[in-house]
Amino acid sequence: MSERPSIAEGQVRQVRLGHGANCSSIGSVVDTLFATATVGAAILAAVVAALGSEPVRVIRPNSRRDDTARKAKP
Amino acid sequence: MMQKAPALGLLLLACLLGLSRRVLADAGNASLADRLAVVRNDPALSNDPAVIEDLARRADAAPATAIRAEARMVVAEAWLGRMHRPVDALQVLRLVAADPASDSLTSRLAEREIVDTLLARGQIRDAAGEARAHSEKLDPRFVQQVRRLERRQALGTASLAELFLFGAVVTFALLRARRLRTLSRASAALKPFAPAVVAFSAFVALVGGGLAAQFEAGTAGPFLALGAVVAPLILLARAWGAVGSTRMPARIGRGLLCAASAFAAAFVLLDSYRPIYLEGFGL
Repeated sequence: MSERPSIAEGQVRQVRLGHGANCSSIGSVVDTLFATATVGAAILAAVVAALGSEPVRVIRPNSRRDDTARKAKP
Repeated sequence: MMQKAPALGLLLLACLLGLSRRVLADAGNASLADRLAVVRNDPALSNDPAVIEDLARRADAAPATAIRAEARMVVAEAWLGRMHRPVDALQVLRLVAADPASDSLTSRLAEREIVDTLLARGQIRDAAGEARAHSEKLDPRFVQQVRRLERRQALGTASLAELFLFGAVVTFALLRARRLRTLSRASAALKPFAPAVVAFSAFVALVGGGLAAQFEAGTAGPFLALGAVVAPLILLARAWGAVGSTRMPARIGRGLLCAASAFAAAFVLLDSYRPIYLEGFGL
């Protein structure tokens, strides 16, 4: 394994403070990704909880045809 | 002339008393300073509980000077660290912080130690109260950090309460549906829906976790945990929706409670597993 080259003081242009301030951009992406996943889960949970269940009515095609035929008879 | 003599005598006595008190105080101070120097320079003595106890007594008896504050700080540090007596150490630190004779640096150090000790003991609310009351002696950034911890603790408690409420309400709804023989609606609603929920959870866990693992200080753990928590939460929400009331206010209430539960679960996960992520959200 190669050793990391030492960085002289003159080579440092800027040092930022705070959470993940000097890390690569993936650091902030991870935070955003977690927030997005949480928001997505919250929206999905809200939508499915708000959905109701409606009773299913099965309409038989044969019975409908029978009714029509019965009406057509004189 | 005869009347002035007792008055002069009394004045002389008072002067002598005052002088002797000052001499005694100076002597006490010098004695404490000597003893403090001896204890500081000898590791065996500074690790001896009896010696530290004796130094604390000497400090209590000594006049109010910067030396007394220094001696008390030595006692407090020994009790806090090596001798595991944080409660006694806190009392001594409070004496130093409130002592007008202690110099500014020592007083500020004592205040910082008080807040740090309370935080280490998990007394976050007390620490935040102390930091608020004596903010002038503390670094503003440190005060902000302590307030953030207080806010985080309050949010954690609220999140746990919300999750408990969600669990209780869903359990009640499902038990009621079982009693009314409408529980089959829940299973009928879940069957076509479950694969989509499992796919969503797997996406959150694997894609999020994979990206987080690429980050130098990152770990896939929070995403895997979120994926594992999200699936049952959404399925419970769907089951509740299937057996619950179909009136609009009930639907809105269910939706809001379920969304809040998702946020609460994510918060509890991060708080217990990876609190550094919360700092990224300003919490």
